[in-house]
Amino acid sequence: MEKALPNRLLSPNRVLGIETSCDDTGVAIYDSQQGLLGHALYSQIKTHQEFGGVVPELAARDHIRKVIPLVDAVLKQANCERETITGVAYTSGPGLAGALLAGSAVAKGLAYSWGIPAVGVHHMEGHMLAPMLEENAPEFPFVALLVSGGHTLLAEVKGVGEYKILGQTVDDAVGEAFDKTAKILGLGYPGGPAISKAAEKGDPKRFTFPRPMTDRPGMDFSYSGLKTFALNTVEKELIDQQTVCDIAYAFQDAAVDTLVIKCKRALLHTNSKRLVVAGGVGANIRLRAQLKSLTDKMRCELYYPRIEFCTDNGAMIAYAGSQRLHQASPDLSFQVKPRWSLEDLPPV
Amino acid sequence: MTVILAIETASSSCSAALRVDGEILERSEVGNNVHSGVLLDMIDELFNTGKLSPQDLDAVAVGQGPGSFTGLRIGVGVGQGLAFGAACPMIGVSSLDALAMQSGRDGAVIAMLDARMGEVYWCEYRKKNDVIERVHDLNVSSPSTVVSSAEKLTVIGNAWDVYAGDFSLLAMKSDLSISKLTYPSAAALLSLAEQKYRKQDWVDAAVFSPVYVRNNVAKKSSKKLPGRREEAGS
Repeated sequence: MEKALPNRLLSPNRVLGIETSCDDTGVAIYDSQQGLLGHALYSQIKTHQEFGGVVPELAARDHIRKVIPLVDAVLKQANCERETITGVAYTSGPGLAGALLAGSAVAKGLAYSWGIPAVGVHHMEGHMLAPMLEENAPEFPFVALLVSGGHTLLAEVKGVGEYKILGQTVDDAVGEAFDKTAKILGLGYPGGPAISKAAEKGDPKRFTFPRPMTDRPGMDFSYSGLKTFALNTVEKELIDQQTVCDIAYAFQDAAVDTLVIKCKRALLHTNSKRLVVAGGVGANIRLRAQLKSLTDKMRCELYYPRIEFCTDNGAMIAYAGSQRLHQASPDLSFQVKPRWSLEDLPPV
Repeated sequence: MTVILAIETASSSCSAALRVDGEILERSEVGNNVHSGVLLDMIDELFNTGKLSPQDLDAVAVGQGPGSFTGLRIGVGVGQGLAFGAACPMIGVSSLDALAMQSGRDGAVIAMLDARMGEVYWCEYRKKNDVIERVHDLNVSSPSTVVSSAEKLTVIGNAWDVYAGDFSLLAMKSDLSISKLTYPSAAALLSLAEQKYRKQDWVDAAVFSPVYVRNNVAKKSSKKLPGRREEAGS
C-alpha cells in the first residue's frame, strides 16, 4: 500500500485508469485515500519492432485484445471488489486516434455497465502528474519537461489543469529523433535504449552535432535537423561498428544538451525551484546525469516518476482521473482528441 | 427471459438491438464516424424502453466484422466493457452472417461489404428461413473474383453499389436478385446470437476479438542501411 497523497477532491474516490494512446496498454487503480492499489502494463514493442516504428492499426488491434485482460488482472492484484470502484478514467487524447478509441470504448462500456462516471484524461497531464504517485512528490508550482516518442515540451505548472506551455518541438519529438536515428544507424527499435547503449562505447571527440535552436532566445525545440545530421554523417563515413557508436554518442550528446539548455532557461524564466521530468526519454541516463548537475548548480529540486511510470502507463491516468472525476460528463458519447493542447484543460 | 444485447458497428450503420417482451427493439443510425457518438445512447434507450439495466444482461453479442476496423473496435470495445461489467459472456457473430440473414429470399445468398482499396469482404450462403450456412470461409478480394455456382442468386450489401460494374462473374447469372439492404443490422445479429446462445456458443469478454479478415496492414521495414558499408566493397 502506498502513501495517500493530499489533493483537492470533493469526496474520496477510487478510479480505474486505462491508457491506450500509443503502443502500451496500461491499466491501474488509484484510491484517493490509499494511493495506488494496482497496475499492469502490456508493452507492444514486439508487435512493432519488425516495422521499425509504431503501426497505428496494429497498435489498436493489440489494445482491444489487452484492455479487458489487464482490467481483470489489476482488479485481482488490487484485491478490490468491483463495487468499490467509483469511476473509470481513460486517455482521450492526444495520441493515435484508433488506439485512443479502443481504450475509450471499453472504458465507456464498462463505466456504463457499472453505473459509474467515466472521465477522459489528457495523456500529457497524466505524465506531468505521474511524480505525484511517488513518496517524494513535488509541490506546485514547478516546471515540467515532457519528453517521449510523441512529445517534447516544457510547461509551467501552477496546479492541476493550470499549465502554460513554455516551449515545444516545432517538428519531431526527441524520442522520435532517437528512434529515427537508431533506424539510420541500424540499431533497432525502440531507439532510445539502443542509442544509449551504443553511445557508451562512442568517442566523444570524433563528431560534434549542432544544438538546434539554442542560439536564439526561446524554449522551443527542433529535432528533425539532428536526425538529418546523423543521416548525412552516415552517408559521408565508412560505417563500422565504432563509427556507429561515435555517431550515437554525438547524437545523444546534442539531443540531451539541447534539453538541458532549455530546462535552464525555463527555470530562470519562471523563477522556479522545482523541475519535474516525465515521459520515456526521462529514463535516459545521460539526460538524468546532466539535469542533476544543472539543478544542483541552480539549487533546484529534481523530480522523476519511478522508471516504469516514465513511459506510458495506467497509473498516471488513474491518478489524473481521480483529480478530475468530479468533472466527468454524464454524456454517453465519446470523442477522442488526437490533437489536444494542455492549455485547453480546465483547472481543477 | 434471456436478455441479450446485440451491437453491430462494422459498416457506416451503427445499430443496437434488444428483445423486449418477445419483440426485437432496434436503434440505428447511418453516418461516417457517428458510432462513438451514438452507440451508448442507443443502448441506454433500449434498456430504458425495456425497463432493464446492464446488470440484467445474460450475454452481449457483437458483430465481429469484417468491416471498418475502427468501427468494429468501437462496437467490440463497448461490448467488452458492458459484458465484463455485467459479468456475462459474449457472443461473436460475423457481420456478413447478419447481412445474409437479412435477405428476403432463400437459397443462394452472397453477402458483401465494401472493403475499400478496390476489394470487397464477401461470403456465399445457403439460406432457409432463419437458418444460414456458409458455403466457404469469409473472403476479401477484388469484385471481379466474387463467384458462385448458383444460377439463382441473391446479392446483399453495400459493395454491389460501390463496385456495380465490376462483378463480372455474377452479372451473367440467369436469376440475380440485388437486395436493397446495404448494411448488417443488430436485429438480424440478435436472431443469430439467440441461436448461438441456445448452443452455449459464447466466450469470455477477455478473449473476444474482431475478425478482421484483412490482416496485411503494414509493410515490414527494410534492414538495408544507407551509407557506404565496408563489406559492400565500394
